[in-house]
Amino acid sequence: MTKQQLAIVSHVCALGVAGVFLYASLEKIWEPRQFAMDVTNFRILPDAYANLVAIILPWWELAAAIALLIPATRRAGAWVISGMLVMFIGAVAYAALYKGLHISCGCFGKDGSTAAGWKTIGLDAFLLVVTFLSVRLMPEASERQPVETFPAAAASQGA
Amino acid sequence: MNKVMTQIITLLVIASALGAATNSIRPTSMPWMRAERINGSEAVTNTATTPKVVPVEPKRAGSGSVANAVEPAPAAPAAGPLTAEDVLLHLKNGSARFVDAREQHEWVEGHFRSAIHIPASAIYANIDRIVREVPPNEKIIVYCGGGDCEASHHVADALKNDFKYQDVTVYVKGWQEVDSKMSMFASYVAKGD
Repeated sequence: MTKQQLAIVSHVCALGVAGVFLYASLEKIWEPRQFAMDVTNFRILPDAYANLVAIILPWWELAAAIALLIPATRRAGAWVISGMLVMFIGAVAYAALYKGLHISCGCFGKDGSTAAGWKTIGLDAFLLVVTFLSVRLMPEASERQPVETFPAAAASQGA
Repeated sequence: MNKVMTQIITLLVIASALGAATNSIRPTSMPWMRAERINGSEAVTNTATTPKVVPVEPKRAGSGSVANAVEPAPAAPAAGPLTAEDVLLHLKNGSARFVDAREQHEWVEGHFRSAIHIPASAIYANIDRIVREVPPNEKIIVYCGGGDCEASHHVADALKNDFKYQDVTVYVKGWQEVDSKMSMFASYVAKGD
């Protein structure tokens, strides 16, 4: 693949992940109380902090999605999105798989029909891979030293 | 790497500030910290423990004149968390409006005939159902599936804090209890939409 083709794939990957996060964040920003309920249902945080998470986290998603779309801030956006995805995977694994709670994943705000479980973990893992590709395939990223790149890319280059 | 770190911190600070600002200017802003619950019941259960006694209309005698004898009012529910008997009394008296906070598939399986459906997954999209027909001073009892369900607490919280309903109570045992005592409630339960 040429550098130009890689750049296009990188942009498409960024666009895909950013689109999902933009959609998810806007739903939660529109109706934070629903998201607060979803956070409470996970039974990980004390109830008192559910509102705090519901007020702030959707804006982190929105900001990270916008940052991912802009090549100059893509790495920062990818870090934040990856951090959130790892956190979501951990939360779903703990609440739905380990504790066996039958709860909505809260992924897309008021869409309460998506149950937390393997399907949501799979979606988050897929988004994690695509986020990684969006950074790894950026022409600037492939020309830099491994240390300067997104951590997973650095690891793969090291191997 | 430092540049990326700076960008990440800037990103999170700006986003947090936007979240805080939006919440503060939104007409239905949420408190930063959620109120603690009291004895398994939401703190929004303010005047719930002092239910009003419903006055009974005087019976009209056969001649059309108002009879002096007034039928005694049904006993008011006792103070404390709502029991099945309290709920039944409110249903009989029509002394409270019931709000079902469960999702559509649960509502279809069975709900109180007089209940207003506001699923917790779409509170604001359905809030008109209650706002247009229930005044803010009327007693409201919110229920969901019972047990550990959170839906009724969220709907009750929204009704009290965002829409200024003054007398909102959560029926904590919810539909689980109604279902287990269906013979008591059968005449007040409907199925389907």
